[in-house]
Amino acid sequence: MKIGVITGTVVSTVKYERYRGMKMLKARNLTLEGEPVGEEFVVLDAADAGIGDIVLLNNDGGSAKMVTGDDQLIASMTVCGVVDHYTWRGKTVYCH
Amino acid sequence: MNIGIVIGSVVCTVKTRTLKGRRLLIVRRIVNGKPAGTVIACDATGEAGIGDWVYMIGRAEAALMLDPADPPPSDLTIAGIIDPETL
Repeated sequence: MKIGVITGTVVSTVKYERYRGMKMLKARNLTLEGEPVGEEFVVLDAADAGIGDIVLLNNDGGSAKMVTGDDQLIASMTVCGVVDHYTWRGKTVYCH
Repeated sequence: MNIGIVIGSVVCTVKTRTLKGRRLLIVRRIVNGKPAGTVIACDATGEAGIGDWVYMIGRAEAALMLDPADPPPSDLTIAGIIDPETL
């Protein structure tokens, strides 16, 4: 899993039918120093995250099935947690 | 799921059997708001057209969205279209 930040929401009416009723967000990976890095992509939300939240991003289809509870689901990135704080190299980073 | 804009389509008469009846669209990938290269993706929604903002899954298992029993050999599959008015 990687730490990331939620940068926006996605509203999608025409989509793969198993995504109906699922919240979709736009997110980017963060380095542990806190700078956004890499590409902004669309993720499925399984942890009620909002814009600006520091979250745990999970990039595996198998765990997407477990997290959302639908074993036929095809997904790549899911939000599986909102980070309160993390301790790294002796310092604690508070995330909200 | 990577974001992109559909800018064209591809028609192949002679192709792999499982690609029969599948829509192949040319998508310009959008990385952080800037265009970055073009790819060809198989459309799982069946309704993406030129100018639509789409999000795509880039692994082979994503082709199971099209047909779980006999998936096409698509390494990039369009999973849905972002509503234009919410961009």
